[in-house]
Amino acid sequence: MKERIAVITWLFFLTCVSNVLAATRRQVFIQHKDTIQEARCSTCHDTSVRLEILTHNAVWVDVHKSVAVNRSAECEKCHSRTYCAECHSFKQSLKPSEKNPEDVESTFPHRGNWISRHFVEAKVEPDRCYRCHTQSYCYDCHVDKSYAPGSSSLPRNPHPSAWNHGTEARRNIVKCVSCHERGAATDCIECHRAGGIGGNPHPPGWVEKHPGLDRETDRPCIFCHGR
Amino acid sequence: MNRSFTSMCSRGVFFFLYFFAVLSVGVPASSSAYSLHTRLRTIVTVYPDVRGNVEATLAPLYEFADIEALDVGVKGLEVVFSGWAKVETWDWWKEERWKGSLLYGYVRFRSSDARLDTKVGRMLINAGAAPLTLQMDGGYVSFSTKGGTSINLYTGIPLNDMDGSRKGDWLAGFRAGHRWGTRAELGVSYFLQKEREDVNFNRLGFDGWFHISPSMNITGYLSYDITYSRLHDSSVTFSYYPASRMWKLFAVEAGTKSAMSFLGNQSVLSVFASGDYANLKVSGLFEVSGVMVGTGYEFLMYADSRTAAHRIYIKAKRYFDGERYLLLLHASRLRSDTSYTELRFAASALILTSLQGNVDTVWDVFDEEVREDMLWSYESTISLKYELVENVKITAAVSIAGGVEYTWRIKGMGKLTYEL
Repeated sequence: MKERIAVITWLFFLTCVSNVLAATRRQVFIQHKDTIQEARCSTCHDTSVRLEILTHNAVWVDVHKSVAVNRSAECEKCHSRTYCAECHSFKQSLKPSEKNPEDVESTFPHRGNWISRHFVEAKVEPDRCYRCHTQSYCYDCHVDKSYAPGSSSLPRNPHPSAWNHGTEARRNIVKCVSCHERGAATDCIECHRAGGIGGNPHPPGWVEKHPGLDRETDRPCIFCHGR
Repeated sequence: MNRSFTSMCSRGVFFFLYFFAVLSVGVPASSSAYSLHTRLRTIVTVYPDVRGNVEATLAPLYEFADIEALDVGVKGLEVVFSGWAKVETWDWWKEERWKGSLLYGYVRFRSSDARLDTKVGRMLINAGAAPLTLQMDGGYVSFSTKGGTSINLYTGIPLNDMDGSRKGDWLAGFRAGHRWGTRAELGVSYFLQKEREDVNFNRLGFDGWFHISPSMNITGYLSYDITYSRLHDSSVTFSYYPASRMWKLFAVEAGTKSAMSFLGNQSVLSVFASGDYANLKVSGLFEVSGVMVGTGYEFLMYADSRTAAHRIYIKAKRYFDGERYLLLLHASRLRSDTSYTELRFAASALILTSLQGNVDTVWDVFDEEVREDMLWSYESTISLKYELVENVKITAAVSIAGGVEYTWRIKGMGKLTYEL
């Protein structure tokens, strides 16, 4: 009788443990099941970091930055040193989801036909684009696709025919920046430099409101006024 | 040094390193004093595209190489390499038949006993006030004390896409932090980047995390522009991990972004910029009958134009038969100047022991016609992955897409992966 109880208890214990481990395994994402089954987390992981924080759940992509920046040693315990480049190597000219079409589970940036909606996202959260891409990334492609000046022709100009760019630029210049910012070679300066045909772009009272600026030496005044 | 010469030199360096990398694959790791981890991927894609006003068929061949040699002679000494090359095999544009770049390529020494970590070469920097994944050629050193204080220092030459010449460009930065056991950490950082005599970035940063309790924590950062004496960007995230079988995570994130935070000081538009905005995001994660569900709402408020954008999303994931089958559904809705709804369906199945089949479809449905009467876009991909022999996998995929640039397009892809 005692033996039967011991066997049943043992089987029950194994079932519970395997259920817990199975659930944990799904969340942990990294396939290090042997270590998990032997409960040797602290062998590798810094136990001062709660494992929940490192769990690669559905919102992990949104929050991984803080861990990666401040506790990158934790990442390196499972991932290779070049793992970050899988998504952050924005100079590869091949989207991560195209590079790994079989990996449907990963939250890669720019999934699907991203190019069809990228102009919407660039307006909504422009800083997201510029975290990885420089403006030349946009410009090169837009020239190739005849969306931007510099193309052999410009049949795909996205602006309507009676385009009042001044009003739109004053309303939200970030939208303009999505296409037209090229540092010192920006399209605005082409016309709005001091003495240029575009005239003075500053609103009334600009000089009075900015007494500390020296237009001969301060960046970015010098692009139009200095040197 | 003109741009083409610089480009030629960097190509030469790249191909030399790549040649070294490929040769190193032939060296069995077990026969040497170091351990070698290698991943080589050869990818070929075929698809039609528009170049200028001419339709062309492109078939680029890519080679991606990731090599890590660990404990090379001395424990803690590493050589890390990651690069790629592309050749247009069918048609090429602007005589750019070859392309490639070295993403990482550094020698590293780290010692847990000495609490030291050093790198020299090309690397990505993620420390404090530095922009995300800053790529530079230079040096990095990090050391920490038993008491919890850590210091990171780095300096080098940035890689700049906007200007081929790097003459006179340099950057430097540091982060100093202190950790109070498992409770909290605070860090202060500084980052300066110059292009010749121009200051691109001159930032002061603060970051930290605090575990209120074992199930609650706060993490955040703040970046301040010294040149313009104003806040660059900031973010605070509160996370709660409930001790519940159903609820797994509840998080609230609030932050601000300024136009300068993405333009950098190099932009003349910084003067006119009025694109500051704030965001608030609430997200949660729960599990019901084996289905993992992540959901959230994000609100973005643009300071100058007094307009707002809203995004709501839900993601669901379920494994079947252990982890043999996977089903994934994703829906999101963006409400802004241009509103759209995104739907994604993906599934994966282990058909045979070594054969995995996948399908992935994304639809975007816009509220009103945008760009050349387009109301929607889509892309569907079917892929098969087969393990030929141990460490060697082959993947074939075909996708059909339609949207802003074409009514429909078919794209083929083949990949050979070698991992050791």
